[in-house]
Amino acid sequence: MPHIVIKDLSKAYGKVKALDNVNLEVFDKEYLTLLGPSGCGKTTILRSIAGLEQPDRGEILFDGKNITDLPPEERDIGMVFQHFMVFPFLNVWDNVTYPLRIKGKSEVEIEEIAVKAMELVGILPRINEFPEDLSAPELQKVGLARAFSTGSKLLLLDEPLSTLDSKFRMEFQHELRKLVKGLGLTAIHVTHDQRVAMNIADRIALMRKGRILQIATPMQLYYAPNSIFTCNFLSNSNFLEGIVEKKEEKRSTVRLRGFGPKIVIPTDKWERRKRLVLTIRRNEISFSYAKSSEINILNAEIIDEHFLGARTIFQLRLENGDRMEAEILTKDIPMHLGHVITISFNIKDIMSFEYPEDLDYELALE
Amino acid sequence: MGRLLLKIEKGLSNRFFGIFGDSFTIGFFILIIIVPILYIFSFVITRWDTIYFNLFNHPILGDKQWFDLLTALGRSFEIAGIVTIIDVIIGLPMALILARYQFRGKKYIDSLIDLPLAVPTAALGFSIYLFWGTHYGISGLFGLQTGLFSEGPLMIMLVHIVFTYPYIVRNLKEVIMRVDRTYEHAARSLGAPGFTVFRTITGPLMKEGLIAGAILAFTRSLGETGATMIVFGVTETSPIQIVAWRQLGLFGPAAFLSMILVLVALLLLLLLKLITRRVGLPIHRVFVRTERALSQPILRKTRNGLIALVFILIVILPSLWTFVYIGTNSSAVYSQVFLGADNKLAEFWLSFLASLSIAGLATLVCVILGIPMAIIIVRRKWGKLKAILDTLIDIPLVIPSAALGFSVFVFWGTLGPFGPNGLFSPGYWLIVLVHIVFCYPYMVRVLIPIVSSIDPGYEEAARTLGAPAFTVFRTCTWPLLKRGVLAGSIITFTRSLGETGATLVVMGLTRTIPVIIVDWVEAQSLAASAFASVIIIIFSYVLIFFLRKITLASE
Repeated sequence: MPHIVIKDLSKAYGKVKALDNVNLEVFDKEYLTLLGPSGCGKTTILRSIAGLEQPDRGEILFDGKNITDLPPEERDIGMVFQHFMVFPFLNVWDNVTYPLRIKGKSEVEIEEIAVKAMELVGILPRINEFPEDLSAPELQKVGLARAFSTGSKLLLLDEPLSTLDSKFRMEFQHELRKLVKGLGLTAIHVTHDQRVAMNIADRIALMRKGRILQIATPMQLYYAPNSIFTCNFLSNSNFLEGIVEKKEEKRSTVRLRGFGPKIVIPTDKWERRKRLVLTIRRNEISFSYAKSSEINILNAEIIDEHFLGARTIFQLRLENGDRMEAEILTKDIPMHLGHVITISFNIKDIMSFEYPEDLDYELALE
Repeated sequence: MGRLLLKIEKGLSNRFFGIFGDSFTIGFFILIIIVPILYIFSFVITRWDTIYFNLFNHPILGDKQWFDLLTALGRSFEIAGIVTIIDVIIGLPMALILARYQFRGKKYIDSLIDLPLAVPTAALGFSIYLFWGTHYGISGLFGLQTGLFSEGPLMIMLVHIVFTYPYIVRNLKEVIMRVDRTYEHAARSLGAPGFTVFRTITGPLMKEGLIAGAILAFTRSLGETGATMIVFGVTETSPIQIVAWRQLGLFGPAAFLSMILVLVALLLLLLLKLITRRVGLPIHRVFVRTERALSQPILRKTRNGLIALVFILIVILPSLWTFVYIGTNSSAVYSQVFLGADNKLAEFWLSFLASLSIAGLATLVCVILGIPMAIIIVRRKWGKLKAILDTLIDIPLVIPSAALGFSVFVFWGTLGPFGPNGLFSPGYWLIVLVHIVFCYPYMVRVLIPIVSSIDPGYEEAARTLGAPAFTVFRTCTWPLLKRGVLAGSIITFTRSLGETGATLVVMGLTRTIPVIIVDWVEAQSLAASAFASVIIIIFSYVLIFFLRKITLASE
């Protein structure tokens, strides 16, 4: 019943704080991803749970037992590595049976467990091959089977998909989730790719600079980010600066800077004169001709376009000079695209944040 | 002057000169280095009748020489084998400590390890002899009047362990540092305790390096002459036997023994190149309980302590004992060196100058012909031929230097293909020639990784900018190569300075420093030997100090 509790975990490499008082709880049979840009400390958490990294402070509880000082071999974990780490001098069979042999299991047991693990990932036909003859996805399957054959209920995955081609990655990530759920494992998966995280996880812990910013389900994280950084990391958004001009029930009107256009937002939590950052996702903007007096319709000038196949990205300039980007389905683009158009977006798709001390820092993807 | 230089370079960049340069480099390598070594086979075969007569049917000695030859060979292998095993046992943990642990003073241990490597083996052997074999050494501390051990197999092994130790430690350290630790992490995450990880994961990953290091140590021990001359007593090893027969004028048996040693060395080299990858280690069975017990931290600490003790007691203290001797017997040293009737000081200076000039000349030739060779091996796209050259380069490295010296002596001398007068007679120039043969691989081996680390893109860029090949070399390649050449030169120079075995065979009336140390110890002039040893140890160590500066700076 793996139930992992991490309490006040801190770790510094010289002056760099890799982990800064991290608290995290992972529940039994949960698929949790640690998501964040490189250097955010996600791998350090994983390696600390595995025992490959010794934290400076804090403790890690595994089913209530403090394992912080245990060596990795006594922690009962299964780990999958970014670069597979399939032992190059052993064939597939010897790799998968390795954790069983070093624990002195009997031949019968070894065969039973290993064959089952290899069947699960579908590597059984390649049992006698050596790693140098296997492709990257096959190697990762061997790595996975090897982790399964430890019999551990906790699976630690360190960027297991990042070295695979994007085509295999999609296939593999579905396969992975299915296997983990099928075997009733608890999985902690480190990735820097938000698409993988959204797709595979029950919950995502988003990290930055050694701290966890938000832990939530993928949906919550996407639709209710608690910071500009989270919003920016999970989706391609526009960030506009403005000041609250009018407050009504359940909605407020914000005027964009430089006496720009007004935008109505779906909240009344901000005081008047409050300086805000509004975010609108690129793909929630649509082009419209209707010159009605409805809310949230703005005039914009197209200054550049990037054709990406199914979608096209437009760079727009608003009346006050602010830039925006809009991602439009290519088939929806009007035939005669003028220089000045009107754009619109739904009021519920606008999120608002207090203007931060340092917007550039919040928007930096690191 | 600039314009003239460019013009000359442009002329030299001609295709013709390029081909000429390659052919000259390879021609030199084949004719000066490889052919003389292999000539010993032809020599033995064409004179088989005389050699057979000498070995088996000598009118006075009967088959005594054959018997001596077998004994010497057997001894050499026995000693080299035992030394290699002990080396691996005490060298592996040290390599592990140096590669994996960070601790204060590591830098100093790292450079102390190199001490036996830098110092001429004769000086080293003398120091160790003083420590174990005389009452000036360890036994003196306990008030004994004789040494703890007498000259013979045991002391030969002690000496050989000391001077092969750095080879094995440095080799293994490099290998261990190259092992990707994530494999070990993977194994630990799968539940393997420390000892099991080392045996089943690290071991196989470093196997090739371990075997290469062991073979290197084995060939070093097999071929060592300088230090062995001092401590062998009556236990002749093969190189000693060659030197002895050469001095007695028994060329037949000496040639036969040389040939066997060359053959063995070539086989070992072949083994190294072809077989090591296929050697399997027994890693499938795991002794769970025992290995878990062996993985305890307390055992690791005990091991580290023991290794430190062995290192200090077996390697460092004996190597530096000459300094202690000089410190406690300064008046004896003074009277023997400066006041003796035989004027040892003059003899010392003469041989010192000879050593330096020989080493300098050999290094110069190795630089001039080593650079193009390294470039050929790294850059030319010759397929198989290149791989063959790459293997041939190592031949002088693995052959016992006495055998190598004897081959060269036979080839250029009165018994060789140049007729009854020979081209070179024993003496200064033949020593230079032998040292070139002996040192050449060191130079090329140092340069190869440096040349391959230079991105040919820079040179291509320079070519597109209009520089002819020679100008590209001067302006682009040379600045990147410079440090490597300096490092290679220092290594070559110290190798030449310390060489004894081959020098003893070809020296004629010329003496180098290691040779006079051997001579003086034989004449029981310990004080004078100590004087010569200390000077050459300091001199070599200063050179190595600069070498480390250079290599560290370039990292």
